[in-house]
Amino acid sequence: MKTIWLKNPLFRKELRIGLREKKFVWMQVIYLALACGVTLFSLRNLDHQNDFWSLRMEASQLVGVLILLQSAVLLLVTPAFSSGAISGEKERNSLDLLLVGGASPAQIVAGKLLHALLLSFLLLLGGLPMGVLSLVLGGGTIQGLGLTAFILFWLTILLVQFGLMLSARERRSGYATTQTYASLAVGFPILLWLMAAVPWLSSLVEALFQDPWKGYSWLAFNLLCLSTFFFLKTLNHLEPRARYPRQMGLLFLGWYAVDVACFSYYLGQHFQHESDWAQLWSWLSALNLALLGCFLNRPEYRTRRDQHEFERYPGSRWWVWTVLFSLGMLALNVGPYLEGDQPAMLICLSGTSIVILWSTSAVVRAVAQALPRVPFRLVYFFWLALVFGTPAIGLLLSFGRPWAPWWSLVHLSPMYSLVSVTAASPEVPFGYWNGKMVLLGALCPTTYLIVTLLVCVPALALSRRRRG
Amino acid sequence: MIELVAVTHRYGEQVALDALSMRIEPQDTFAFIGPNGAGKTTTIRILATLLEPTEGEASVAGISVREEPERVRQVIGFMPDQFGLYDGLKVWEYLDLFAELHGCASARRQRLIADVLELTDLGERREAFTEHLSKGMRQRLCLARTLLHDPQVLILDEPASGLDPRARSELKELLRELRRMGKTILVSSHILPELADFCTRVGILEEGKLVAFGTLEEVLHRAACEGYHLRVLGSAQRASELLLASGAEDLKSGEEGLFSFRLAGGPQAAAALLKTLALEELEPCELVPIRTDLESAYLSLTRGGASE
Repeated sequence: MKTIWLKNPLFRKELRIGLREKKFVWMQVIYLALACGVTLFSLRNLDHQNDFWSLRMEASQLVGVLILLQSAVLLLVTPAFSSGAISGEKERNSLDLLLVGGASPAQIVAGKLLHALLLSFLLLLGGLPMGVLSLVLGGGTIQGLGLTAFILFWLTILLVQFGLMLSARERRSGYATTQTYASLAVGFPILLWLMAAVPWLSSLVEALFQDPWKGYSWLAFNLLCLSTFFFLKTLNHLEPRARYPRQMGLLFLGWYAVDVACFSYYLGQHFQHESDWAQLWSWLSALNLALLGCFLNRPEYRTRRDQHEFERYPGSRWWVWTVLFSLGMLALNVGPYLEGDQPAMLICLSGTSIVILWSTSAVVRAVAQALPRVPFRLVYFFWLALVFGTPAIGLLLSFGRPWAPWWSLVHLSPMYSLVSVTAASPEVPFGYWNGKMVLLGALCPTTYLIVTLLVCVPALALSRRRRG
Repeated sequence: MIELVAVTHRYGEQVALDALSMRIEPQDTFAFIGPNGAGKTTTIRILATLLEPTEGEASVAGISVREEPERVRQVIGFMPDQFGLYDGLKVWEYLDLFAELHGCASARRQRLIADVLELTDLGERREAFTEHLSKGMRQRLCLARTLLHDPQVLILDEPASGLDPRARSELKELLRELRRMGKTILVSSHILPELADFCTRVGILEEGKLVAFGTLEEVLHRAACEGYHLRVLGSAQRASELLLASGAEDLKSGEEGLFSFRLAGGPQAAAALLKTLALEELEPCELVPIRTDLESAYLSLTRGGASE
């Protein structure tokens, strides 16, 4: 078993080299001088003639600004510690030596991560006295300070790991650093925009943060999951063989389970009067969990050649699925809020169709990849039968009566879940639901077939080649 | 000890190795030569488990590089064509890092480091920073690193590249010593005369294909058989025409009916040529295979198409 964390020899090596350089000392000095300068300047401008409460209010605002400033500087500096770490090894031609010399990818990444985190936390600690000012001057609380440090801690881990991931992907440190900062500059606004575009998400987040520690814990958990995801991706970039599909699948399952549980809990607490919401989430928690676990547990390619073969097809590329999924999610969430019932219904159903059908198709792909010896057509037809066959049989045998025993067969199909989820949403106009059965009937299978074809063509080709 | 079976590697559409097969026996010192871009480094990276071959199988000490790369790494010592040293680390710290990565216990590491430093004649530079070492010393330090876990197989990519004659000589002595210790060594280099001094087998690679493989004598013989000096007493003009008609290449004619040329087909082809010349009454009086060294063999057997 390799020593990955504190006894990691690569961490010790990084420390040795890092502490012998003057670069970090100068960075710390400049950072603290800048922060102290701003603090002193602001303190000088405080109006000391004011009464106690006004002074306390002013001080509180000042400390808030300072903490924000410090955080911004920290977030700007932190990615620089890691974005050149692994690409630097490549430039020095020492990464190959480490890999052949007995270091595991996890050891290398953990060593770099710990070193970059140590430098970042030293900066964070260096700025702590400014935070403590809030206690001296008044206006701040230990809890507030603790919360700020808590969230900065997890955010730092995320940023460092993100920089490391890009560093492992690129050959040149310059590219890696530029990409890290460009991604952060573009990514944060997009994230905020997406949150604003999904109204129920922002209202849920607001509900979560009614108890700050719980809200921040939830946020920290998400940051940790995202960091772990970046960690696994970094390992994948280091070596062609280092793939962690099972760990990735487990991570996403755990992540999703906790998030759904959090949301469901808060929905139960804060939206009891809107029982439909709770119903929707109880639906989603079971259905989405199963689907997400399946399609995120990405296929494990036995060799690099298999992967190349598979990825030759546009339908198998990750970005096609990301775009598709994003469009589906956006349509699903924006649709109900559009003016007019008909377009709302149409967009909402399109979104739901894409999301659910994307998931089911991905299951087919995952199964075909995971079970290379099983003829692909068998898997494919089984899935088709489950999606279309079971509801059809159920409908036929129960003569369309939901109270008949055969109707339960309809429940087996992901198509039914799709319809139920859409129908359970209070924003979907039910008047149209009954009248537009034909539309739904045509829309869902068409989308399903298109999406399935996109996914299945490469899987089929790979399956054929393997058998051949 | 090292075996490649129909190994092909492609970078996109470009074929770097084309169904390469070869076998290196235990305790061989194998010289791997070829022009730039021939596929030497690709082969070496495959054997060092840094690249997965597109097709074919490769194994070191009977362990598949594709299936069990971690185990292969335990039996090989790999030295790439660039040092990969860390500025800011001392010589012993650098070796200590790799010894620890190979899983050596703390108590054993100091002894081990002293041993490899002594072997590579770097004992006195133990406390020096790596950036203060000369190029030859750095090369020896890299070699010391590869020896830390006492590997059975050493894979050295251009170890003598950029070294001055003295450093090259020291390196050569060190490799001889390692051969005496029973290591199997695969070494790629452009400095051919020195390889010839201590290699037991030679492989010449060009455009991803092995154009010659065998003991040094076999490869030299094969290259030599293809080059000849010929003297005829008859018409030089007619002899030249006949030589070209018989398939002679790189034909050069000198004074008094003297020719030098290359002729494929070995002794049979040479005998047939002599017979033809005699029948035409050109009176061939001398046909001498050109004596060759590894460098001439290399130039004779490769076309240099892949050279940059």
